[in-house]
Amino acid sequence: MRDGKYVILALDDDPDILESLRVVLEANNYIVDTARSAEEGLRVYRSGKPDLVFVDLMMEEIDSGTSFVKELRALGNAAPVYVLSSVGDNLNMATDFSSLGLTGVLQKPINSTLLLSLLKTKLK
Amino acid sequence: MIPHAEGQVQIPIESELEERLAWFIRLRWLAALGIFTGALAAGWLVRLEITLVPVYLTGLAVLAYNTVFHRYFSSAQQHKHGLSRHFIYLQIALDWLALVFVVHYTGGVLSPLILAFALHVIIGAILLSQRSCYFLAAFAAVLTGLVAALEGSGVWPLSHSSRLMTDPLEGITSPLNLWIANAVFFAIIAYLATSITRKLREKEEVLFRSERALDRAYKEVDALFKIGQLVNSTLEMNEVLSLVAKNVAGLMGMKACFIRLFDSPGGELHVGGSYGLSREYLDKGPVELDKSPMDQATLTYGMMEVYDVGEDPRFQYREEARREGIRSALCAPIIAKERILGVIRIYSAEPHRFTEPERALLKNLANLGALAIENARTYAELKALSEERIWFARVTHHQLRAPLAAIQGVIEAIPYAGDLTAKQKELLERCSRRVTDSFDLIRDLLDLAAAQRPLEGGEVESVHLGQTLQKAIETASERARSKGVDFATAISPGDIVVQAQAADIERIFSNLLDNAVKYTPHGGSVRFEIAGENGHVLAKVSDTGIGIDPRDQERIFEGYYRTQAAKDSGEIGTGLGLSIVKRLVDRYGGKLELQSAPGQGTCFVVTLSRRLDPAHAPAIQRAMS
Repeated sequence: MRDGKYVILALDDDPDILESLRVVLEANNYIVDTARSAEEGLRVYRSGKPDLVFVDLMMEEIDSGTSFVKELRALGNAAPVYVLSSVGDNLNMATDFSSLGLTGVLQKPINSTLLLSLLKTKLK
Repeated sequence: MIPHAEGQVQIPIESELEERLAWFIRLRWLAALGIFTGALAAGWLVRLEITLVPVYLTGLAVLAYNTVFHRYFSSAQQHKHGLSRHFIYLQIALDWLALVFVVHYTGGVLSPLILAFALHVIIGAILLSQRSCYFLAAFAAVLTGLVAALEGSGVWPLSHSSRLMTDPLEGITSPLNLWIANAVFFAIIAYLATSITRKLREKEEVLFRSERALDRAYKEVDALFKIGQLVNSTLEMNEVLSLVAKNVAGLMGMKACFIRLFDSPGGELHVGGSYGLSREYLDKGPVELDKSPMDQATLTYGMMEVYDVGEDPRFQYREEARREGIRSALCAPIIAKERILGVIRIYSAEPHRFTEPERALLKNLANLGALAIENARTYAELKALSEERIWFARVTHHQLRAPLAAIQGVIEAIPYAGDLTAKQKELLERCSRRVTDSFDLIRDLLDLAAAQRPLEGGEVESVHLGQTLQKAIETASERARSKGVDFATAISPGDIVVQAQAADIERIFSNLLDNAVKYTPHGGSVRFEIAGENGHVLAKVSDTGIGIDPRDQERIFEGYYRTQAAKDSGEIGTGLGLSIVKRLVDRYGGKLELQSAPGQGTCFVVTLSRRLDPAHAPAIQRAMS
């Protein structure tokens, strides 16, 4: 929480995705921190203490999303972590999902109604 | 007739008969000689004044006709024309005519020479069939009876002197003479019997040798066949090489087998596969072609043998070979499609001189191995290509979707950035719809490409239809309800399982259900039935929709083809859905049937085998052929 608002960290290497997320979420009274690499993401995570995290595992820098998620787990992260995934990204959920400490998956393109209802149920 | 035409193969029984005929003719020279010496000896032995002139004349006649037979037989052999069985009968007939004369002039039916008929019956048994032999015996009896009758009735009277022989013992003056007469007869019998036995033994030996050769040939063919099957049972290069090495060593009774392959045409030889050699020996170092005259010679001359690898300077690693306990080596090139792939060597534990059949066998095995290696190489190349294609498709998918996802995200965000006019909202909706269509098109294109890729073994799993299709059914049902279309399912109770990929099964039926709902107007109905039937699954998607014109029914499975009625319905589609369904059903060796009439509705029936037919499983192999 920052200034009485929930803080959401979005990690994606696509600035347009980040920007549209920011517009939708800020219009709904959330604070959005964004990062475009694992390194930046960790820095923002430490300083911003988000209540919920969105992360794209399929960023161009190979494995940067996965390593970010592993780092979060190592830091004892308690905030829910959602993966932003494209259909056909071939995430091997069966093995990685629980070991990476992921809460769920959001399919791109992200439906804003779905996104907002998810946040409402998760952040109370 | 004994066929003996030019170019025809003479079967063993014919050549044997010819041999016997030659023997029969040779025997007759002896018989003629016997008549002359016998007549002379008889005069001395039994002290009779027998009528020698007719006997000598008969002997001369025998010589004469035997000369004719000999000439005829030689010319028949030379010109390779057939010999008639009548030729044998003619010989026996003339012999017996001569014998009748000799018997008549040496005492008639009581002449001891009448036993010569018995000898002929024996010869007949050798030359002719069993039946003919009995016929000969009967004929001999009739003939001697006829002679007796003619003599007794006085039609053909015995001469004075020969009549004295009616009791031959009367004329024998001493036991010594009797013994000599017996001995001569015994000798003739012995000669006949031993010559028959000798011929039999010769035949037995020939038979034994051919049996052994046949047995060896059979074993080799069998082993080649087995190796052929074995080395083609896998397409993994390492496995292929190990199998070839192991089986070649085993089949040829050798201690070890070593296969070396060129890393590139004209490059270095490296270890391919081996059997019976220690790790230490295999790791002794690379084989440099310049330092290995054995391999050089093999590649130049085709085959190379070294009697003692520990001593022969042509062998590069002599000391190591001595330690390994290998002695003689035979090396053959591995050639496929006129390209030398490498060399194969076999090693014996004891000094060994390789025989011609062993060399031929290794050559055959090397050829067989070459084929398997070539197959494994092609497979590896295809596999790499296939993996590259999968990777490329995945990256393409991501690259195509990422900007669309960003656009869609931005479109979704615009209303949150400030109020929009109604027109602006409408325009944004248009954008959004086109983006969604583009997503569908990308998905269909990639699905179509994936459906064309043959399945690899191990890629399938047990797919529980009820569970897997739940989502597709829910989506279709939801859509039908919002459209005012009745939707019903009839899934037979019990778990229906097929061996497939769940995503493929889901795609087949979600496409069919999606189409059925899409092209059925308000008030119509869609029905989905699944039933298991003896090893098959029968799934039926039927609707009361717009139907498909018979002229379009063939073409709807082509990519991007949409019927006019479908376009007129106002529904959006990529035109790829049914080609994906068709290809996926084909992928599993299933059947896709269509019944439809315009305005009446459409029914698709999919039949899938519950167990994946092996002919359809390792499809990458089919793709190679």
